[in-house]
Amino acid sequence: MVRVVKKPEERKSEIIDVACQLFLSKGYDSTTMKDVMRHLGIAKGTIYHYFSSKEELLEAVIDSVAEGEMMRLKELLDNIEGTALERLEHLILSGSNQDADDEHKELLDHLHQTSNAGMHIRLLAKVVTKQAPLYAELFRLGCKEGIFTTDHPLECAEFLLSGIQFLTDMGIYPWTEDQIERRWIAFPKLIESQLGAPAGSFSFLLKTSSAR
Amino acid sequence: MKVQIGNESIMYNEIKEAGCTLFRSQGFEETSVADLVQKIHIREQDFYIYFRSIDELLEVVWSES
Repeated sequence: MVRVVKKPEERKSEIIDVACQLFLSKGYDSTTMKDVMRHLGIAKGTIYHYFSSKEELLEAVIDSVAEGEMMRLKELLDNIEGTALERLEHLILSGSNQDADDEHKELLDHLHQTSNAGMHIRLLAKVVTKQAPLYAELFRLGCKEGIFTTDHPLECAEFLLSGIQFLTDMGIYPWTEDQIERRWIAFPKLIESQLGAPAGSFSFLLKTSSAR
Repeated sequence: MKVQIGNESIMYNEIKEAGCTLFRSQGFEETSVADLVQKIHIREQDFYIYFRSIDELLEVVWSES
């Protein structure tokens, strides 16, 4: 085997990428170190050097998925002009229903399948903590514009994201169609009251629920 | 004569634990079967009852820890 010297960070992210593909295609439980090794052509010791357990590797995969998703949204947000509410609408509407989101969903589905509940919750938590600052920034802007009123924009974002994400996760709550629809219909009003926003300002959310 | 209770025998777990400790402290590349058996005072052939190689031990330790 030819020894290729790579930068540690590069090597690490290579391992994470391959592991992510393997976890998705083979499942977390059936993925072995040997699989990762074969795909990358590196020695077992090398993998061990970066990740001293499989769980640590999964943690890194989860982090990278959540980080990638956050960066995608951040980029999206940087390119939207408008009021806080307009930008929020854009962020929420175009933030979902995209390829990257599908991939993210696939990972989530997989976490359900393998009854990897702990891991699943950790991914949800990671997504919330990474994305909340983006939303908080818009909430802050909204407060400046006088459309929102909150003293805790970050916590408000975390609260709303956790609540919505957790409640609409069918792997956690096995809602029927009608039950989930009921929740989606209630969310705009709940968000408006959290943010002290004018009635109807979050009605655009109803569009996403019917698209689901 | 050793009593073996499936895979969950005491020695099996002892080997796993020692493997974990050694891999962490001195690195996988630097750990040999000889180091390991010396550490927990077992014979080398006992190691091979449970694991085909040090690689296999690493795989198990890595997946389970």
